[in-house]
Amino acid sequence: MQTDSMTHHAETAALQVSGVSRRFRNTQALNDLSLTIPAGKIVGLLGRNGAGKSTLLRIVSGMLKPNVGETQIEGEKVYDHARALGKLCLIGDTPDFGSLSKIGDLFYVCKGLFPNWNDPYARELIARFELPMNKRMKTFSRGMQTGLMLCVGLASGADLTVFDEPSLGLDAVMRERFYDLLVEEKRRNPHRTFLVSTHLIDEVARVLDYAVLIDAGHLLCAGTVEELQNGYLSVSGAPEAVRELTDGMMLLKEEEMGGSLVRHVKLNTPEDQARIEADPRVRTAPVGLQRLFVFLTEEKEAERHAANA
Amino acid sequence: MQQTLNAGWAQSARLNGVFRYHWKVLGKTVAWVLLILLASQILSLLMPLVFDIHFTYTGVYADLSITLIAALVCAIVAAQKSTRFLLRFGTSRLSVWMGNLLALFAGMTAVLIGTMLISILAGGVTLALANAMPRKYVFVQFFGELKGSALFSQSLTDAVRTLPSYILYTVEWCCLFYLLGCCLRRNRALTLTILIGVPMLLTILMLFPAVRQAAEVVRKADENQMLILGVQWTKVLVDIAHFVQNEWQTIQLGAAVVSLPLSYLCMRNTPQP
Repeated sequence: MQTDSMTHHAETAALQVSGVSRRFRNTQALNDLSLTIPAGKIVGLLGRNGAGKSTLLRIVSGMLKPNVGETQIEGEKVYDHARALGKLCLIGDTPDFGSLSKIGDLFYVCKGLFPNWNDPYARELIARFELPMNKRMKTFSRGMQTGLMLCVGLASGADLTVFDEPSLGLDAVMRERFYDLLVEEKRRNPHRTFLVSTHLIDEVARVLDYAVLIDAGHLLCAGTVEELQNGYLSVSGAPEAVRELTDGMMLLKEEEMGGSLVRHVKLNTPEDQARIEADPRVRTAPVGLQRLFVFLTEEKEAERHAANA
Repeated sequence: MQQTLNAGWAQSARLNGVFRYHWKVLGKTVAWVLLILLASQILSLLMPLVFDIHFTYTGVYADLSITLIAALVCAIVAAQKSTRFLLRFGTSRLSVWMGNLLALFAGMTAVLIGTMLISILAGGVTLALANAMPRKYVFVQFFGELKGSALFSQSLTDAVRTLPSYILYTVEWCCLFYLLGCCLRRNRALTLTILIGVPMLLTILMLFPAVRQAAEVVRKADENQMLILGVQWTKVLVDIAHFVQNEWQTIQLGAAVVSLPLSYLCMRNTPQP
C-alpha cells in the first residue's frame, strides 16, 4: 500500500506524479502529492467533492501546470510534451463537442486524434448506449452527451484513458453498462490503463484493480483494493458474539439489521482476522471501500484538527 | 508493451486529428461563405431579368475584404471554441496552435481564391448575357476604356498577378487575428481595453499638444500664427500618413511575424477549463 511517503512500484508505471502542488489564490488544491499508477489496471481516483481530483486530472492531462512538481506518463514529462500527451485520452466531466454537430463527424476527428482509435467498436458502443447516430449532438440530453464521451474514451485505444466523474448525468442502467464495458475493454486490451475519478465510491468499487484515495489535496493512501482493505473487517452475526470478538478494536461503524449486529472494525493484529473468521457464530466480509474512505478521511481530519489545536 | 510507444512525433502530436477537426468545421464555414457569395452573385445576375435595372460588371477580382472578415471570425472561433475542444482530449498546445494556424491559412486562402473563381464565373456569365442583352448587362471598367472580353482578360491577368500578394496579406492578417483571439480567450476585458484604449490614448496624446497650442493662439488672436500652426500640424499628419503608407507592408509583415510567438505564448499560458 502506498502512503504519503511514496513507495515505488517495481511494475511499469502508467503515470507518475511527483511532489505536485497547485494553489488557486487562497485555496491549496493539491499539496505535495506523489503517487504512482501501475500500467494495465482500472484505477479509481477517489475523494470527496473538492478533494483535488479534477485539479490532479487537469495536471495529469497537461491542461494545468503545477506550481511545484511534475507528472510523467510512461516516463515522459507531460506538460506540453506531445509524445506523452499522445498516449492519453481525457474525458472531462463536461461534454464538449466543439463546433461538431454529428456523431459521425466526432468519430472522424477522433480517428485522427487517437492512433489506436477503434471505429467499429465505437459504433458498437453507440448502439449499446442507445444513442441516435444522425441526430445533432446539441439536442442530446446531458446523459446522452456523457454517454457519447464515454464511448469516445473506451474506443480511443489510448494507453492511459482518464474519465473525470463519468457517471454524471447517466441513469443507473447506463452507469452499470459503462462499468461493464470498462471491464470488458480492459479484458480485451490488457495493456490499457483506465483512471476513473469519482466521489461515488461504492458504485465504482467493483471494477477497480487499484485505488487512490485523496482528501484536501493530500494522498490518503493508494494500493490494490485488497491491499487497502487489508487490516479492516466487517463482522456480522448475533450481537453478543460480534461484540465479544471485536471489543477492543477501533470501530469504524456499527449497524443493527434484523436482530443481528454488523461492526466494521480495524484489526489490531493480522491474527485477529483468522480468529474471527474461525468463529462459526459470525460472518465476515472485507470492509467496503466507501466505508474505509470515510474512516480514513475522518481519521485524517481528526489529525489535522489535533495539529491545529 | 504499450501500443503507441513507437508512434512518431506527428502521430503523437495528433496533427491529423486537428486538421480533421478543421476540415469538418472550418471547411464547412468556408463552403458556406462561398455558397452565400455565389448565391448573391446569381441573385444579382437574375435581378435585371425580373426588374428594370442593369447589372454592371467591372472586372475579375479576389475579394480581400470578405476574406479578412471571414478570417477575423474564424480566427476567434479557432482560438476559443476549437482550441478548448482539442485541448480537452489531451492534445498538446503546440499541435493545436500549429494546426489552428495552418488550417486558418489554408481555409482563408481557399476563401480568397473562391471569391476570385466566383468573380470569374460571374464575369463569364455576364459576358455571355451582355452579348444577348447589352442594355441590361454592362461590362465596363471603372478607371479605363476597356470593355467586354478585353476587360475580362485584362482584369483576370491583373487579378492572377496580384493574387500572391493578397494571399500573403491574408496569411499576415490571420496571424494577427489569431493573436487577438488568443488574447480575448485569456482575458477579454483587458484585451478590449487595450484594443480600444491604446489607439484612443495615442490620439489624445497626439492631439492634446495641438489643441492646447491652438487654444493658446486663438486666445492671442494672432491670425498669422494660426495659419502657421495649421500648416505645421497638417505637415506632421501628412508625414505620418506617408510613413505608414510607404512602410505599411513592412509594418504588417513585422506585426504578423511578432504575433506568431506571442499567440503561442498567450495560448500556452492560458489555463484550460
